Amino acid sequence: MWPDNRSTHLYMAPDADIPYGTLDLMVLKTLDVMSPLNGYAIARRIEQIASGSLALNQGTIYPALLRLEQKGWITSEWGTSDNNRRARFYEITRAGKKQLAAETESWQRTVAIMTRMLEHE
Amino acid sequence: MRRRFSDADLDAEVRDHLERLTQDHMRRGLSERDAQAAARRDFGGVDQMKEQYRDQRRFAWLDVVRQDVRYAMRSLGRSPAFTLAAVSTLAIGIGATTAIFSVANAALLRPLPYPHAEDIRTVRTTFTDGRVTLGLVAPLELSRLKDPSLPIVRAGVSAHVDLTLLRTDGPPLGILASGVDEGFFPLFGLPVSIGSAFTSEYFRQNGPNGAILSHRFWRSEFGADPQVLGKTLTLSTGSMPIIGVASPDMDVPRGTDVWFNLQLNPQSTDHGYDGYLRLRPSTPDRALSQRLSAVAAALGHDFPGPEGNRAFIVESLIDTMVGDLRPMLIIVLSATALLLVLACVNVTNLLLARASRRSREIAIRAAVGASRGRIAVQLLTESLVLAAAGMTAGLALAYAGVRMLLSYGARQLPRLETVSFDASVLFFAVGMLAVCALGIGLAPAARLAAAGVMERWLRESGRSVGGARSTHRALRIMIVAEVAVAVTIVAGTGLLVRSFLNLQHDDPGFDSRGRLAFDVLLPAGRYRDAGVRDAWMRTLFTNIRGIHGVTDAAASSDFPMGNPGNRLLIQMDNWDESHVHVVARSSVVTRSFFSAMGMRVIRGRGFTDDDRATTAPVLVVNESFVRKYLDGRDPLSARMAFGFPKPNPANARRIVGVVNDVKYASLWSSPDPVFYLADTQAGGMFRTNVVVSTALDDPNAVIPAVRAEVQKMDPQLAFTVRPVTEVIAATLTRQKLGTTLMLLFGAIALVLAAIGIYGMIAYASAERHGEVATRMALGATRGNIFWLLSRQGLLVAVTGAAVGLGVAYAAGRVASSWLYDVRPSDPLILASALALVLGVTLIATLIPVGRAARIDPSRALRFE
Repeated sequence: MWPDNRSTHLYMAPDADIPYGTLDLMVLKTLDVMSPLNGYAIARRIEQIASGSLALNQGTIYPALLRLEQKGWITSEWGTSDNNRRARFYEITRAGKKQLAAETESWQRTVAIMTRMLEHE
Repeated sequence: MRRRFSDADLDAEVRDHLERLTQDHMRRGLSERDAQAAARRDFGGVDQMKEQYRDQRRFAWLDVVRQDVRYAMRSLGRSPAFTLAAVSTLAIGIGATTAIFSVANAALLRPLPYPHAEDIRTVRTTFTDGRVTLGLVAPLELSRLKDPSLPIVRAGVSAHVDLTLLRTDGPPLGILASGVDEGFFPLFGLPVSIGSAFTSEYFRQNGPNGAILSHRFWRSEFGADPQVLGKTLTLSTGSMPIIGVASPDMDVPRGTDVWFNLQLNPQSTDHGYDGYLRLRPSTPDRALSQRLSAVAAALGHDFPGPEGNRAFIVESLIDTMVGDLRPMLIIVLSATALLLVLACVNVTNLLLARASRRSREIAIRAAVGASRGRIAVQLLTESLVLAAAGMTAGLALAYAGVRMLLSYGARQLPRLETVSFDASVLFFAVGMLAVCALGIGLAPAARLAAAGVMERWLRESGRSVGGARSTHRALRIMIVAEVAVAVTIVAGTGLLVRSFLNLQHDDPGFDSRGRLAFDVLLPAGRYRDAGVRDAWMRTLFTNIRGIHGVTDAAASSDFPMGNPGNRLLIQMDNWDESHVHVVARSSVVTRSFFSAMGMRVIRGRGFTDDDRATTAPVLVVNESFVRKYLDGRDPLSARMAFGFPKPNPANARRIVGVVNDVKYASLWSSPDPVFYLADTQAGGMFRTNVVVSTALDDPNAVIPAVRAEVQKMDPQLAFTVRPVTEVIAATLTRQKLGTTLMLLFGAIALVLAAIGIYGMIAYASAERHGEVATRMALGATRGNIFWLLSRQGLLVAVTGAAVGLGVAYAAGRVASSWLYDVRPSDPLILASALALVLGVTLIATLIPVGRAARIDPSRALRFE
């Protein structure tokens, strides 16, 4: 059921989910750059930035959005979208920004460490 | 939240998303059908996602709880001293409460096992003219109480007899038997477990005899043999066929082994029965007592002799059984509740102090966006984790506590033989836990969640000198209360312990050391003749005196702190008709009883061998008798008549001696007026309390020899030989239990006060870390710092002690009826309590202060 014609090297779980927390971080970052957005726009933006190297089951962002909202890191509101439909728009909160800053830092640290480890001969 | 994230909303979002994806694909040139398929592929499984979404919605709180619990455990683990203090405080509070509640529940709250037990009453009679009676009822009264116009459904009586069971495989056994009338068993409403109840033919004149065994007796004596019916109960006085075994719950009168049927004459005015009534449901007490006074008045009118001036006294069955234990248990229970409140106050203090110390951490969390509600919930979770740990430890403590209380003699008290943990005790503990958790959790949580506090913390954190002032004040007030309660309880404990020691070392008027006591009941059938009984007794005494170490053996019709004595009406020779119904205790004794008991003859003489049936009958009285009835006359010149229901002039006798007072009813009762008769001049005794005096330090050594002598004389007698010291100790069981409980309370209150002071000072010292360092850097000596930091603790301790002293004195006055020979203002006890509490609080103050004063100022300042 997982489309195998795309690159899957980023994913560890066979149930085709992005590692827990990674998607949340992506969503937070997306909303930090550009708010408010609806679910579709968030998914498209993540795919655009990954420029094809990431396979996202777009539906999985909805549980992620719910999770983030439950934690108080984003809020949502119903509004009218560009095609004149009712749509839910998501926005990052102050707590979300702090969380993003903290996670960005830790992520960068991890990446730096891993890079050094792996490049070290 | 549920509404905001509804399925319909999600559906709309998903539909919109899919349509946009489809349009994207169509714009890239796919057909509508292919575009829809591609959109679904990009989106992934819709149903799967919805399932995940719903799970997330439903179980989000679980995540939060797990997160909070983990957070709480981590942060508690970081301060083990605080956690230990808080958990042990809670454990003590909950443990003591549950233990005491288990005991109180068994004695007071647990309903009696009889159907509609609230309608059952015991009934007694009393004289309205001041005469004294044992309070038993007569069959004539019973038959009047059965009048169907009264609000009484059933009435029944029992008469308690000591019988001796003859066994083929062991020594004779004294058993407690109760003769009962027809109304008795139906009144309690419990079915027999084996065999049949008494049918009405058993109560007819010359009907058959039968015995119903108690369930307990059936198990212990017959090994729960199901074939017991039809067997015969062989007693020293005759035999009865066993017709049934009672319900396991049937226990009236308490401790009965065997019930047998009484064939009563309904016209008899023999007042010898315990009466029981089952009332019509919800009969008001006042209505009942009005109707009963009418019955008593009618009886007095019809039978002025035996029934004149009598009244009925009705009491609920549970009151009769529990008796004067109730006020003690209520006092104990309120003391326990007080302790639990104290424990909660303590933990609240500890948490408050801790919250203050964590102000920076919390302020940061608030600053990064954690809502006040979230922080409050997290603190509450921390409290709940603490409370749960406290409850677990507390229940273990409660279990041990109940064991301990039982081993300290509670087992001998009514209804306590079956104390156990049951559902209600557990509910009680859980209720207490909830109270604690809320009490502990809400106070700090509310403070933290309050608007403005965050900002102040942020500003103050790190550089605070005085901390939050209101927190300090609240802490101080609570610690003052704690010290006050500790002083009150410790002083109260001192008073009770002193009172108990006074009782134990009180002079009962006789010497209990080196003496043995036992009572024998000579069966009237075989010892019908007074001469035979007399000779039997004299031979027995001669043989016992022959045992090595024994100095004397004597007997009396009643024994101090043993069986209830006999009271008779008396008439002094110089009294006129105004002296009616004057009562004194009468006791029949053998010749050497006074010396065998270690009593003193103060005037005249005791009984001698010359006081025989054929010589002039004489009396010996005690000091109280002289004080109360002789109005300054020379006792040796007085004569007195006695009898019942009125003094009989035919047996008037001369007083030949005065002996010292002996406490009969209990150690704490004042001595009664008593007159003694010589057994040779009183027709002998059926029931004999034998006292054996020895020259031994441990009279237990001669018990086997004494037993053997009695058995040689009559192998069919049942009796137990005990040291007299043990007989007295047995009367102090309740005092011992009460004293033990109070000692426990005192220790717990001390520990709580110490923890409270320790927590406050440790907190205050930590708060003033920077100030201390600055002062030291500016040249303050360690002594200055020591004084600076301990001043507050000492002030609080002294204030609390002063308040506590006042409360202790007031409480002592209220409870003075519980005290024996101790004044509530006893300076030694109050001073000791004060010294003890102040000493403990001083130590609790000095430990954290000492630690704080040892800091290195340069390091501390850098840290700041």
